[in-house]
Amino acid sequence: MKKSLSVSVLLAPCLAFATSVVADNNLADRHARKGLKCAQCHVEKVPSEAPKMDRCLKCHGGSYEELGKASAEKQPNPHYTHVGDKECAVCHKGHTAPEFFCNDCHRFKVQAP
Amino acid sequence: MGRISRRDMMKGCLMAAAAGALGPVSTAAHAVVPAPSTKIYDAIILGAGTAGLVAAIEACDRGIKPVVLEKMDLPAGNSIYAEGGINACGTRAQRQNGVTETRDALFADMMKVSAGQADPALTRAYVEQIGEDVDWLQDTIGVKFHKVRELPYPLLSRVHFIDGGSITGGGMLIRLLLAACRKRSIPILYHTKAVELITDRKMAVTGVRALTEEGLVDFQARGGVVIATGGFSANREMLCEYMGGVMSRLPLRGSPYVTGENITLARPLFAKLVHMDQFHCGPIVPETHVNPVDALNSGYGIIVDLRGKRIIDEVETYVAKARALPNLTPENRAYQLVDSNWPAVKKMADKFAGMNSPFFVADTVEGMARKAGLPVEAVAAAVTGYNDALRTNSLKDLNPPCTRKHPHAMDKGPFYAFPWASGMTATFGGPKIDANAQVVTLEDRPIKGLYAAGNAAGGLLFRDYVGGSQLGGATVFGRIAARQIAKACKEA
Repeated sequence: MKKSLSVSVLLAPCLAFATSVVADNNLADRHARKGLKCAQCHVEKVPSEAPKMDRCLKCHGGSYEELGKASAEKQPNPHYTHVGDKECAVCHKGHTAPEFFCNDCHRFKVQAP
Repeated sequence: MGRISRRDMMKGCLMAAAAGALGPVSTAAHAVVPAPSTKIYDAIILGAGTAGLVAAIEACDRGIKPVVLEKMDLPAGNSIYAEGGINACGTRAQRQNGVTETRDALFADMMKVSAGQADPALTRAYVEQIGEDVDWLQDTIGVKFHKVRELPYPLLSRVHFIDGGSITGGGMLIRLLLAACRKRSIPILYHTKAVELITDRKMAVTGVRALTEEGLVDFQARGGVVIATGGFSANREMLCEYMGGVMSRLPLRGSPYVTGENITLARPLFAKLVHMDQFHCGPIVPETHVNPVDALNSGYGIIVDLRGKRIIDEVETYVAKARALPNLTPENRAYQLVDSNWPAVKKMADKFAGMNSPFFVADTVEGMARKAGLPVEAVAAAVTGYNDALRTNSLKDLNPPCTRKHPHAMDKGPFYAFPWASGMTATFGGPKIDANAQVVTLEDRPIKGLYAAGNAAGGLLFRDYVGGSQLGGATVFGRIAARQIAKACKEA
């Protein structure tokens, strides 16, 4: 009994993670639904760190400048700001809800995907 | 791997002892020795703001090898928050517009607005260099300026506003300076925070110890180190220590990362710290960071506190109003009330609306006060009192007086209430520099190898300044510091 309890405790985070990938609508879940494997974004051995900008740009926009052009209609343009080109994962969280960095100081009505 | 012999150990200890005796000496007693690695450059520049990036570019263009150490993930100092004005005389832009702003007149006015407390040698260096520096920003960095226009004293035709497009002028300046650094392959090391200066046995600065993501690294400087880390506007402890009182608790108008490394790095070398109680403040809406300065400068309306009473002579500058507010009201909150006689009122309302920042508008004064949650009778009495006094030519007899030369009645609806608070912009205090941008000791002796520029340096700014002197000072003394380091490298 004690042993099986330990196993289930150890497995719990894995199950929770697996569930979140298929059931939630976070950025990672949406990527997973499109058939992407974890390792396509998480290039390091342990998938613990948020992917860096250059990884995201391979599929999205190609360059930060292009992202800025693509979102130029938004007010303000989240990809062309006075703070410079922030890492994507600052706003676009993989496994939790997105956080719009600009609203640390402002209160813009911009929803990051 | 073989075992370490007793002889090897002895040899290692002797070598370490020799290094301790002859090598660089850290300024901190608790320094970790040895550092994990050492990197050598000609100029080590601390902080990727206007002063630091300008210094790096100038150093590179003078043929020496700079590195910029930035503690944050991007340039995160005050520059990116700046509107982007540069106070200058003798620029090509002025000549092309038929404007004559002389060095002597600018010198006199910079001294005047500082109540005579600005360092004359630094002010002289500023007015001598800034014309060429603004041209350099245009030609070498690619900065585009709006056309110079005539503004009230002491701005006159001196302020060159950077065209920021959809972002701040300061944000654009940093983008262009970064591009110029990329073009020159100048290394900018992010997440690299200078923690102490390294000196030799004569206390000349020979390098910087920095905390990187991999641990401590010693950077060795052949020519010198430039402190361009800004002031201490976001360091509450320092604000409390050097200013105290309500002014040390203002909301920030700029960067939360300007935390006084100019002081902590320079103080162990007995640098002369000057103008430590001096700072710039202005209006801000703390919750949304809308800057309502144009409403305060409009020449229209009145300013009331949360009790609905006028609190200050509306003729004052926005800086004076912001400086006074925390001392006049316990909440550090006020409303700029304006009517539709102000031609730009809609523009201000659009600015607030565009940033989802609450403001209050109604066809009557009472309706506006009600929406704003202000005491209706008090606000109505304040507006009526102002209008009555204007009619009877007795505005100066109000309490507080209103001494505007060209006052306007508040009688055209709709009426607007724009909330604001006083916010901290930047501090002026820091290690005193000489006209070579070299930090001096308490005995006014230049510290070999140590330079400071921008808001990290003390001496140029005191009390108030001609708008655009912060970015101007960063550019002038950033370039001077780089030239001096290049000179030192060539003489070595």
